[in-house]
Amino acid sequence: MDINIFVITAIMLYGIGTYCLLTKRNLIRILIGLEILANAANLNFIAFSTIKASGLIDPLPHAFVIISIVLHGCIIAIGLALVIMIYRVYRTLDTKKLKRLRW
Amino acid sequence: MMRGITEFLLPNIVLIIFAAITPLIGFLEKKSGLKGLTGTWATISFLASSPFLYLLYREVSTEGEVTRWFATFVAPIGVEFRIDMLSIFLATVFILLGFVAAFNSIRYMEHETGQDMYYVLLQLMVAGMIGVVFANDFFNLFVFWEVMCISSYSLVAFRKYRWEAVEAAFKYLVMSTFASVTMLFAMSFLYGLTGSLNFDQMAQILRSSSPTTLHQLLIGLIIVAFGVQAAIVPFHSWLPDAHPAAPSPISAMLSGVVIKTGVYAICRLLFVVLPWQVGVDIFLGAIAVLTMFVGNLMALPQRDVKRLLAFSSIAHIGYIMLGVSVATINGLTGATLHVLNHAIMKGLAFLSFGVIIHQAGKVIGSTDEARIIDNIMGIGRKIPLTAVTFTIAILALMGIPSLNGFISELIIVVAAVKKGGIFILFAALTLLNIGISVVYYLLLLQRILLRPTSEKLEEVHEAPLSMIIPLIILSILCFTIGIYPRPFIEFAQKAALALLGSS
Repeated sequence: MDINIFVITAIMLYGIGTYCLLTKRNLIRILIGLEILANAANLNFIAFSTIKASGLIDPLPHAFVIISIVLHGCIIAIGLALVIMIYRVYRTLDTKKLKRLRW
Repeated sequence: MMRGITEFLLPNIVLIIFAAITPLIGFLEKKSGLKGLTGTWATISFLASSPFLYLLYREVSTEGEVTRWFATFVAPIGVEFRIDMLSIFLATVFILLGFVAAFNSIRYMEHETGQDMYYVLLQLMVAGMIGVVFANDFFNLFVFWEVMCISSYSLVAFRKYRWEAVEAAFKYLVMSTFASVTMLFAMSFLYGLTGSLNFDQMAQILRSSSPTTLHQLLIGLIIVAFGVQAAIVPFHSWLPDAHPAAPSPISAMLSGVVIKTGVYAICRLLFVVLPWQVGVDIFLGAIAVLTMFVGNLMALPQRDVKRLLAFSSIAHIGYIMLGVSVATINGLTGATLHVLNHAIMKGLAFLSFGVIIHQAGKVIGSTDEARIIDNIMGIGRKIPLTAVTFTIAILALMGIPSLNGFISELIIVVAAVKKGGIFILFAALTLLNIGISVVYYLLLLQRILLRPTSEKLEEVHEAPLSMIIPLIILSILCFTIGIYPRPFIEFAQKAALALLGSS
């Protein structure tokens, strides 16, 4: 199968995720942007795992992607916990209304 | 026989085993009412992992480098640890700082809840960092990198009832996760180009092919990805928020060693894996100088001492990056030695200042107030021992001869001058930066030591001895490296040779 379409999709997802991080003001949406970015990288890995030899799929990237999904799950869990803490202090999820959150 | 022990029990594995038992110790502490049991356990765990590091050091110094496979698979299907002198050197720094941070935390964190989790995260952070420097493929590098990052996010937000900590941790999380995802993205392309995740096999394929634009793009992505963790300008903006917001022993860990793993990863990938492109050295040198300037100039107007120390960490990352960009044996020796020296002196500065705000906070009422310089004018007279160690740390950061910072900064500057060309300009700018940094360090010392003590600080007392002992250990190291640097320079030189020899 042609992998170009997967690689192009991954690059597009990466762009969408970066755009989401740069423009969104809601904390939850920023975390969603991070998830999109992670999935772009994961998709790319899976796509490249098929090209080593015809008919052979390299198992290492699959193991890598599964572990990467777990790790990003952990990160998003911590991120959501922090969002809850931020909401308790500020009663808002808008980055503009937080005191220091500038990047 | 000896080899059998270190076959599986690498220092980071030992730390992970200890970390798994830590919650049990925390439970025992609650049941028995023995205060500080968990902290003592964590301190012992760092001590206990050092003999394994020493055994590994013995093995590496005879064999050059040591490879450990997981299970029975070998590369490219399996993943591996490759330990050389540079890994040993950095792992030594990590365990040293972990030990003093845990020791200092026993009293510093005694009033916090959830101490068992705190020590588990501290142990896992050090285990993750050691894993990063041992890794010889992207799989291990990424997994241990994330172990380190996840622990540091949680530790920054450990005092979750304070708005500053939570917000800084969220900012750190978003920026750092963006970086690690970018790294994963770059890795996937490198895997697509070479069909392997192993560093050696990648290097073989990448270096035999002619350089293309894709390679340059990937080098750029890698520098961005690790540059965020290393706090290289313009990706530094999380650091001055996250480092002061963390508890002081964690600030010492973050500023002292965690940011160095980013520099290490850039070095390892640029020198060992990716083809060295013409112009990368000048590019890195320019970024290093920019980093120094931003760090030093931003530190000048700070009223919050922890924030000032955080900005000074950015400046020191600039010095280290300059040593890396020179890319000669002397430059890398200086950079490696400065990693050790900066870890010691910045760790000492943060831990000493942590003791100061811990003692002043009891009197003033909040540790946040005690971080502002105007509130603790002249506190040095009240807590002489801590003030002395703080002064040693600041003088070392300033680069005073006979203390350790001077040695490595000298090696870096001399290496840059010897390289010639535009690096002479970079060396001159570095000297200018060291001059700028002297201004704010001296102002800080003058305010803490020489101003008359205000009445509200009359009640401040010297800290308990168990908080001071780690500071004394680090102060002695400052003097030892400053006065008798030869063995440390030789160790750093071996580490630098390990990096250059494989390219």
